[in-house]
Amino acid sequence: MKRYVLALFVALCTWSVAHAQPAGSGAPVPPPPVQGADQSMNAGGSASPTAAPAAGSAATPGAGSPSTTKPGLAWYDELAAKPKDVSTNFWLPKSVNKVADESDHMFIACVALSAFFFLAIAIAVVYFVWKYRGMSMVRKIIPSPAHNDALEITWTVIPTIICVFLFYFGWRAYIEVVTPPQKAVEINVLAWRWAWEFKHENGVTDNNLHVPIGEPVRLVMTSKDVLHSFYIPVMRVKQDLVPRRYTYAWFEATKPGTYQMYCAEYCGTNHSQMKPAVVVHQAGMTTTWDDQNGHHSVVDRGYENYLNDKAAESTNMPPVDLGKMLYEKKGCNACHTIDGTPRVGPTWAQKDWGKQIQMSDGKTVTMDENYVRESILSPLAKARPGYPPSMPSFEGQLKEKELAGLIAYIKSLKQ
Amino acid sequence: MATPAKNPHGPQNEPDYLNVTKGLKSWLVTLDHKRIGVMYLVGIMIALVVGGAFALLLRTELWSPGKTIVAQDTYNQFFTLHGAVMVFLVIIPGIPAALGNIMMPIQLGAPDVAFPRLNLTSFYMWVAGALLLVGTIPFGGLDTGWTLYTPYSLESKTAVLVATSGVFRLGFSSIFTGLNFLVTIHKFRPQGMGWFQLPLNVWAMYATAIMQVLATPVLGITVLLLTVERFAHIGIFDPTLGGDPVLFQHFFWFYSHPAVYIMIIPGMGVASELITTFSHKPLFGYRFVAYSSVSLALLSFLVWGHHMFVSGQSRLANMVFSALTFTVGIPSAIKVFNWVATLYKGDIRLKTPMLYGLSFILLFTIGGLTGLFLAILSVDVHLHDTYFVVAHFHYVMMGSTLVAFLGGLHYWWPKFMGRMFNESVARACALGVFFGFNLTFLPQFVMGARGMPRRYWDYDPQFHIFHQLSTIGAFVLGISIFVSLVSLVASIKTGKIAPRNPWGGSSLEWQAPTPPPLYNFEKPPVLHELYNYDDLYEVEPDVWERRAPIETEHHRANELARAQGAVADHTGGATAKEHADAQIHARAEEVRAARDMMETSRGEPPVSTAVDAADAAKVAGAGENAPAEAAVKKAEDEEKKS
Amino acid sequence: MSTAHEAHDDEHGHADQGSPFIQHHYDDAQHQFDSGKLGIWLFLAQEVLFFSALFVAYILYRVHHPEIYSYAHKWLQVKYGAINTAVLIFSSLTAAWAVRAAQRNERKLLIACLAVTIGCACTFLVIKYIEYSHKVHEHILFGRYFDPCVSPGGSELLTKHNDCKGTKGTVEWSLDQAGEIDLLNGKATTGCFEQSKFDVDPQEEGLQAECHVFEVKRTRNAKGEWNETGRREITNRCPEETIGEGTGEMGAQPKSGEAEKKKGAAFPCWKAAIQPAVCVPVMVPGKASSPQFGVLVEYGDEEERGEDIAIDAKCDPSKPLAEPADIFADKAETERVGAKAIKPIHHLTTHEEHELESLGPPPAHTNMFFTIYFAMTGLHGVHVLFGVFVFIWLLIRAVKGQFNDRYFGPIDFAALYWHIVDLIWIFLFPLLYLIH
Repeated sequence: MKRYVLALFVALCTWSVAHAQPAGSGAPVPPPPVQGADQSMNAGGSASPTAAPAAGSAATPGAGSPSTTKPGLAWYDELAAKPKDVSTNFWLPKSVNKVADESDHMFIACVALSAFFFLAIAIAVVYFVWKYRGMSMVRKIIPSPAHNDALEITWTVIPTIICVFLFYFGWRAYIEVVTPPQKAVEINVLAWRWAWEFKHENGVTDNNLHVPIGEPVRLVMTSKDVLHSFYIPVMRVKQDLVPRRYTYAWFEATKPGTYQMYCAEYCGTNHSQMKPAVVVHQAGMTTTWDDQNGHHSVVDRGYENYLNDKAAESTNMPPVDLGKMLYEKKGCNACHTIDGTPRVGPTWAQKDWGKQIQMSDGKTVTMDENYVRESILSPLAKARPGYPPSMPSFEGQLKEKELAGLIAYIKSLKQ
Repeated sequence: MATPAKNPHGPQNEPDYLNVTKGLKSWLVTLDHKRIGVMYLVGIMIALVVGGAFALLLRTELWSPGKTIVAQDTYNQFFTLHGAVMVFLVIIPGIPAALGNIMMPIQLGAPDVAFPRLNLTSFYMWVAGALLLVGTIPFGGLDTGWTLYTPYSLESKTAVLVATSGVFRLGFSSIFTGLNFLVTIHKFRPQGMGWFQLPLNVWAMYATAIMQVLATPVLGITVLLLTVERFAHIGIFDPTLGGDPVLFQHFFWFYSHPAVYIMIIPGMGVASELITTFSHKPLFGYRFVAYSSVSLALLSFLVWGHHMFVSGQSRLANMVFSALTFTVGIPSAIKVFNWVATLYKGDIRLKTPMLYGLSFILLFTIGGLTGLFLAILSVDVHLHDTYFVVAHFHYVMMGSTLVAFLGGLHYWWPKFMGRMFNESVARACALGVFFGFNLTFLPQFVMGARGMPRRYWDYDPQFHIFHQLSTIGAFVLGISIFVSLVSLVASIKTGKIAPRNPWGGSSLEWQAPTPPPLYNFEKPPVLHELYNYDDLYEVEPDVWERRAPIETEHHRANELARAQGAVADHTGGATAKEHADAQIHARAEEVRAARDMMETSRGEPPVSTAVDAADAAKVAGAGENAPAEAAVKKAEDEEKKS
Repeated sequence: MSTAHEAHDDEHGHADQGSPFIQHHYDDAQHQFDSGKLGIWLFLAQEVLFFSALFVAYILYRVHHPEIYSYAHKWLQVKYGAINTAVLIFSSLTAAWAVRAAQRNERKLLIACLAVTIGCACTFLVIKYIEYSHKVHEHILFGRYFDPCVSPGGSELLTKHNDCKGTKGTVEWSLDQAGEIDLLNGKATTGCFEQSKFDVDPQEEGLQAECHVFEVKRTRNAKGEWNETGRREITNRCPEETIGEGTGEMGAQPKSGEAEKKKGAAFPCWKAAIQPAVCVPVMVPGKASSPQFGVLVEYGDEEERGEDIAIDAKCDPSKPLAEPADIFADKAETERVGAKAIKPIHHLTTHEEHELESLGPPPAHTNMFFTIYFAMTGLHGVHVLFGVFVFIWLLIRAVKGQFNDRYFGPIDFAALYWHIVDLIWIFLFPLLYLIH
């Protein structure tokens, strides 16, 4: 029986490896920085960060390459929208955190240890069952002792010693993983149902996490409503976010790319949708990456430029684009669709713009800018029937301009 | 519970417990531990089917990324109700309240549990709790996860209040069962049955009962506070009122970690019985296995914090809890090694219960070893709340406990139902359970290590294949369990009449009639050396008997023999061969009794030196019946005088 | 022992057991009593564990927020607590006496003892009721319903329901700190910043502010006036334990990791809480003095920081979290925000005023003390109530004469239960009422 299990296990492992390989090899692996782009960056860009877009124009999507980019997507959002790097070394995703190695070694050591003990026990069980299988009616009496204290002590002491070692090394690695260095880029993380907001040191906020490479990043995190958990598998970082309390995490990215982040603490309906991208930016230079099909280039202009461009973006943006950005950034997309299907809340692709619509208390109200505005600021005042009254108020969280942008965006979606 | 024609192996002078009174009402108000156990079993089987249905629904939903059959909210309710039903209604009461209730008093040779009315109360608390828990469905379901973490459970729009009231009742059901068992094991052991003549199943029940009594109240107060918090907003767990949501996790896990051992230790107890019986050999390292049960029970109170390594608790706490967590690995390892050593030079028969027993060893080994990963602090940061954890605890809770439950159910089924089940169907199901289980949960280890978080309705494409394997496995598993339950139930009508001892078990329940009468034994059972298989022979297929007669008509002699821990006078009507066997036994028991007398909690039995003398005469007299009889008479006279 | 199995054989033959209440499956009366005794002890162990979670909660909150305890216990009347302690101790005595009476077959004494025990338990409950009804009256309740009739002074009553006796003007805090809050001279370690746009109830529990806090560097010029020489925004918020303790020790050493112990970097963080109670009129030269709600910002200790560094802040109150509709929630939530109607019922007496003044303003989350108080005493009260029912049942049985020297287990067990109820109260009384 045991042999079947082993066979199954081996088959399973093979299967998963076979499956993982294409995914791994197909994932975008950043090629070494293009020399030309590098130099142009150094020549023209390094003097003034604001000149970088001009200097890197050759690689700008839409300008040089046959781009499939959605119009209006900024370079950093395009990076975030890239397929995630999911390459693995069978058990674990490939680590891109400088301090995660020791923890990975512990994992591998533990796999080896477990495999050894499991195989030893399984082989013993199978062998004994086969060797001493009973014949019906015929009893074989083989005298054997019912206890052996020396043996008992041996198999008490050996696991104890192993456990002491596992504990010690695990603890040591843990201390390293949770102790940030003195100097670190600090990013504030705020989570709520069901979105993330990352606030950088210059005040820009985004719903994807952008971090520099080779610099420690320290996250100061809290939650607005229920527990969430900040989890980046490639960084081996996980930390719960607790409302009205700050928790911390840190990592130092070693490889540029786009990775997946998750919410790991169950938080309700769209728990499984709380997964922003983590973009690790190349250090201070422009790099062109091809996506896996090779016909689309994405530009990485570095973390500094991200901060500057992002700050610039939020000041001059057409209202509809601003609204579209906020739709994702503020987590509206968790509950509202733009394709006409209802989710937790009504869809934004309204058929009823300008018409009278029914409220849950029986009254009617005209669907117009004023109604949308009121619905954002005090959602429960005029709730529509058929939807749970779960929308939080955005009073105080949106600037007037952003509010106008959202209204414009919703208006643009009317059918 | 219709019972067919009288079982010839049943009690001779009175009806068996199934027939002692008739009618539904006689069952509903019964105080008989066996009937209460059977009612528990019926309830638990129903709950198992309900919980299993939720499992299959949620696995079906995970067949493809995004929506397969249901939307997020429904899926969240599926996994919540699957978890809550399985944990609170099936696994925690499964072995103690159902199998334990039926078998533990018989294994002790006791007529009933100490508090039969409390036992019935406990059952109805379970029923009320179960109805409330399942009753959340018409009231809007439950979507908090079985862990009921605050502040989500304070804000959830589902019927949390109904669920917490249910869990509160289930908690007290569990406490009452544990209390009852502790008193029963302390006060209803026959004289001469010292602590180290208790079958390991009883030891496991004892360790479990300690935890049920000492840990479950904390769950009680926690869900009580949560309930009050929900309707009165007292604020103790509500961060907006200054409360501490993480405190809830501490309270919850202070119960729920011991609860993990409430689930697994009875499984270990049952597995020990299965392995010793079907190896036809005393359990290797009996004392170490017994001690490890109790040490697991005690250590389990000290490790709750390992569920909270990334919850924001201090590093010092994490370090301490990590270190303590490793300590629970050691008794578990000891048990596994001892089970394997028991197989060595045994006489192993692969009957259905033994298939479950061997599955238990292997699955528990995987469950235990993967627990090491989660105890290592740095590794746990990565693995916490991923499918790795899901797979790990399913290996322990389901792969071990539920498999042991099924094993125990098959093992004792003939005893308390009086019928044999269909062996080939049952074996096929046992294999289906084993392979289906592994197919379900092995892929989840890989998924989890690669970063698939748990409780996700949607997932990334790289996890697709693992989820599909897992779903296929879940159906194999579900169908196997369902068929085995149906086959068992069908055997009540169609099965062969079960003999007293179909498996060659050595503990006291196999001396009781099949099915047992109201007070379990027609005549007081005779204590043998624990796990003594030397004179147990399979006289025909699936019928085992002791060569030496195990009972005598002479009640008084049996009783005095029990008082001394010695074997009774076997000689009435026995052959010379049997007589000689009995003498050998008596001597062996004598030596044991002398040692164990020091350990019995009830101290020196109230017998006079005259009885001692009689006993000595009995052993020395080897075949001379008369002096022993005379001494017994004399002892009785003396006792009457005093 | 010798009759054990004969008893089984003769199913109804318990005449020799001394009582018809010995159940079949016990060997004899002693066996039943021993089993019951072990059972009740285990039950009591369970009870202790049941209460333990509340004691743990008590300890945790007391360690983290000692100021709440030293403030809030003054709302409890020691007099009532003390009487109740005496009553319970006496009833424990009568319960123990009842056991003795049963063992000696003294039926009348037994009945008297049981009756006195019931009487004491009822007295306890009546006193508890009086205490509770006072609390309900004054809105000194748990969690969300903690809404006492106290205010920092000014024009508006701070309770949510405005049904206190007295109006807001009747009690004003005379706080020494008020004079010390002097932003211009930079002495303050704590800034109280006006928030003019307050339209939410600042007494609301847990409300916090979103602040931009600046560290202002300055030098004194020749005239002794301060000149600002530069400022920078401090982005670090203080870690968990210091948040929301507006009136804790001012300028407590920020605790945010070993790395930041160095002088100069000693104040990496700030904390803020809306604290109307502290933001009493600030005498700012040139401005009219008016009571104002404000946001209390703390940033390190002034002595260590040096006086050439001041703080400035711009704060907005963050909105309270939207509460989801909850079929089980009461409707109080909708009353939280809204127009307030002041209904002066009567003015406080001088005594009441003095009493309230001596209490001072409640620290943040004072409600937690009352949450724990009500949880502990409430649960204990339920146990007392249960005890009353048990003793009434025993009294009925005693009147029927069912107890004797061979069968008195239930009385013994109930007395044990009663002792543990008493014991828990003996812990609760000093822990809740006698805090210094």
